[in-house]
Amino acid sequence: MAVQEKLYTADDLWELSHRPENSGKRLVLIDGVIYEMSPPGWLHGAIAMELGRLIANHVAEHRLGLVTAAETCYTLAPGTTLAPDVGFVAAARVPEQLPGGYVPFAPDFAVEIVSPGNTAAEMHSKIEQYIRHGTRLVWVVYPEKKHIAVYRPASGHRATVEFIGADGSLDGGEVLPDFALKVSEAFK
Amino acid sequence: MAVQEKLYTAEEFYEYAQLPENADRRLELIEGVIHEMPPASPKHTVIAVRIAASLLQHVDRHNLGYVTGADGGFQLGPREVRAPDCAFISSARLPELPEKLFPIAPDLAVEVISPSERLRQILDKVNTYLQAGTRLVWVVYPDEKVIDVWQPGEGGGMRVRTLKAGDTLDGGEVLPGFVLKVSEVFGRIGES
Repeated sequence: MAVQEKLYTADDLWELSHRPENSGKRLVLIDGVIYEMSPPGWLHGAIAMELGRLIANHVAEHRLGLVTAAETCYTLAPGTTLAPDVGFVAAARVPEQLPGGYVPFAPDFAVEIVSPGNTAAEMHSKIEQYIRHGTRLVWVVYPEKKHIAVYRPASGHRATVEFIGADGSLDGGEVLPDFALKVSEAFK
Repeated sequence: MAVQEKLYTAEEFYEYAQLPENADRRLELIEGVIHEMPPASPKHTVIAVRIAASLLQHVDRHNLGYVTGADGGFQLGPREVRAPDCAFISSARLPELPEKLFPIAPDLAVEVISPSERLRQILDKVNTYLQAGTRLVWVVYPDEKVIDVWQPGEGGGMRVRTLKAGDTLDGGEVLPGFVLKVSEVFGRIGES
């Protein structure tokens, strides 16, 4: 849901979301428009945590980079700040000292879990933003349908997508080498 | 571009499109909002007609149904009317041509992509066709000279295969026996 109509920047989002009246609100910015995300439910949160745990274990073991939890904001472009349910930044782009503000670029890998209220159009809008701004792998997780859509960038701002069903498995490709996951592990 | 902000139904949209002042406009209804499509580029229309001509030849030879052009309106939902650049609808699913909009989704939809179209619009479009019952969507990129072939996947998903120069487009289960070389689709249209 759009909250305001003026075009905002990531700095505005930071300022607004740190006002006392907005405390506890989950705000994101897409093409200059601020949207409020509804607080996730139990199933959503459990899947986010489980996927995050599996991904973070692999990343820590192989020293691949840094994984962030849900609500961590990434500024993909001046007017676009998103908070993937799980985000990953490859080691080469992680500074020694992490800044206090938003991550100033797009994650290398983003996981978005679809909530009952999310429309396909909303999800497509997020996927477009990640792909346009350099994210190399996007998983869109559908808890009700128990499948995961894997988006990867292709030439000319295109994307390829593969839907992996409940009995399938996923891999991290070049982004997370040697990472493998059965879809059923995400939904147990 | 959104023309109006009131939410229209497919019937209201049809009446609106029939008004004399709208006779020459190419309109679509997307989630209840009327959108006007600007005239396509020369490359765009040449490619769409090539595919349509090739489809028509096959469909007529085997008496399979109808091939539509860029001004055909398909009702994909109560507030959703889309006009693919070209489409095929089988006579098995639509025995007679209706008076107004096509009341059901085409079996095959072809969309040629303009440079201004964004990924989310393309994903929305493909998803809308597949959810409405279209079994095959060809998304054609004139600048990249590739064709993405979208089909419904398992469990309500969708899958895509990219065809490049050297590959051949086929009709799959929707149009058995139909083939068209990708190089014929993009031949002599110049570099991007």
